[in-house]
Amino acid sequence: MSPASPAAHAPGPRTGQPAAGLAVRGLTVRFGGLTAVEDVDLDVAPGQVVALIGPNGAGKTTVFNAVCGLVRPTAGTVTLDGRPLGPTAGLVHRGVARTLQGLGTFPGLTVLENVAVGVPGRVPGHATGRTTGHVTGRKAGRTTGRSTGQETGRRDDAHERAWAQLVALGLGGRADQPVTSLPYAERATVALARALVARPRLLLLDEPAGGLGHDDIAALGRVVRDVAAAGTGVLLVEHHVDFVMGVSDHVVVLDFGRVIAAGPPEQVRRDPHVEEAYLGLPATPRDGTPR
Amino acid sequence: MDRFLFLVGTGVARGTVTALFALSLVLIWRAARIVNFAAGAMAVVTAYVAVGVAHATGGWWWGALAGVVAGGLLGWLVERGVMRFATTPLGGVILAIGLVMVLQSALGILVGPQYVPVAPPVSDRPWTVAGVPLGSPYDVLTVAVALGLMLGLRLLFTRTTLGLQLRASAFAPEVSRLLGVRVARMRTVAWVLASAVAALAALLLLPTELGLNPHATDVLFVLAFTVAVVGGLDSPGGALVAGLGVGVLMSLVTGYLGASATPIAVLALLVVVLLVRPQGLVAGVEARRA
Repeated sequence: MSPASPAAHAPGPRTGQPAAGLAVRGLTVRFGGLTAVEDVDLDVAPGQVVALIGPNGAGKTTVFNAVCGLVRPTAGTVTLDGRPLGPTAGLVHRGVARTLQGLGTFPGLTVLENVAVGVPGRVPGHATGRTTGHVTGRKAGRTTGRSTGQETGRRDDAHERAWAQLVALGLGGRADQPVTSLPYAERATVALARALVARPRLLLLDEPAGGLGHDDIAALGRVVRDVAAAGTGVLLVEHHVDFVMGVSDHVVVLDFGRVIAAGPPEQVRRDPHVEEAYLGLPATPRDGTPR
Repeated sequence: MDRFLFLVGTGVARGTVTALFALSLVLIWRAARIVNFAAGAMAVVTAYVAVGVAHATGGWWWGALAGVVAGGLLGWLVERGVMRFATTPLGGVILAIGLVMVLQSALGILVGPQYVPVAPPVSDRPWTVAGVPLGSPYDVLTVAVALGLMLGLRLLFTRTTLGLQLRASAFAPEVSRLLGVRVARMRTVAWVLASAVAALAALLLLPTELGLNPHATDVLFVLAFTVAVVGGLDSPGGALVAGLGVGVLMSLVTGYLGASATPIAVLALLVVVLLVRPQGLVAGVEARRA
């Protein structure tokens, strides 16, 4: 998992067996002359929680956007189970769900409707053809052989799934309220429910602890661990260091678009490069800092 | 008093038609953030199809069916062929105005400027209750069809997965895409729906006008645009309420002050609403509730 030499990883889809889960190799994204992300390697195995941290502007969200197909990589590959991830609208059907920094809940919809939009199904508006071989439920033991796409295309079924997901996250009582009437922490939970209801195999969380209080962060941590325990890989971008260190199996540190450290939380916490770039010296002017 | 009741009855019938046409504008605004200035010209094209089919088959209802189907088809063509190239709101407006010129000129060449009278499918003689003329069977049919269609659309939007996705992609297209909703397709669906609705509204209007001509829906469009703005461009419910209000107001102004005063009344209403509540009458309520 050491990111030092991308060549050592370069799997090539045909050489050897493709690793399960998300694999990012040599990812480089340039916006005009600005290199936002350079040569980033990253793996998220099923059931693993990986955190992507780094100072503001380090390129964390750009990595996310590249994984989601919102940003086209200048170089490098993004694969899930050895197959490249395609366009954004097809992500749900590859088993990828994502939350957003701004939450992105639908203002005119109720809580239940918000979550129901996240249920993938074979309906006119969705990309057709579910390809997820095994769909992971939130709770272990709910892993069904195959989810029936035809059923999930029906509204009642979608709403039932959305309802169950809300109940699981303790928001059952809010289902019929307009989402904008909820306090921020609960709206964040709605956004999380909307991602989880797709029963993703890879869950991308963009600053999930942002704006949350202490108790809400603790609850979020439990949910993330539950999701991972059920076999879903989790990749999260987060500023909240305590949350990251508590919930992650593996931490990747970005600075100026490059991976400067990667490893288990304790190891990363002690890494001098990380302290220098991020953890210990937040107030130091960045310009003169030797790297 | 008799006159007042009659004018209100007529106004309600006209108002529901205007509301239906305004609903078409609202549907497109919500899905694509474009005011479809071509709605009138598109509807008049489908009206020619409908009247042609009605004359050929001898059945008004066949004509109406053909008109609605043609409306949906035209909506699809316009969205896929023209409007999806609009990258800015202003670009959309200019494309739409260009489309108006093309469609109306083409109609002028193909069918000429003469008026084609359109007979109503049911009697348009008003019923009189105790000597007071109220509304005609055609008025009742108009209101029933318009309200039925609005109810159907409401059910579509609130009770089906397609409706949920239409609303989701209208509110937040980027997020919807992440969730697997095909936003571009939703936009096309909205255009097809809206265009079919506008076609039906134009057909309901025609028997009450002098006849079909390439400019038969111009006034309807201006009224419907006013209604949509008054109701709040984002609000189907606002379109209905404002449509009824404007319809009755226009009917009363025409009846008491004369037909020449109605355009002034419409514009005065538009100006007042834009000054006092630029977000529309209903939009604020929805925003607070939502």
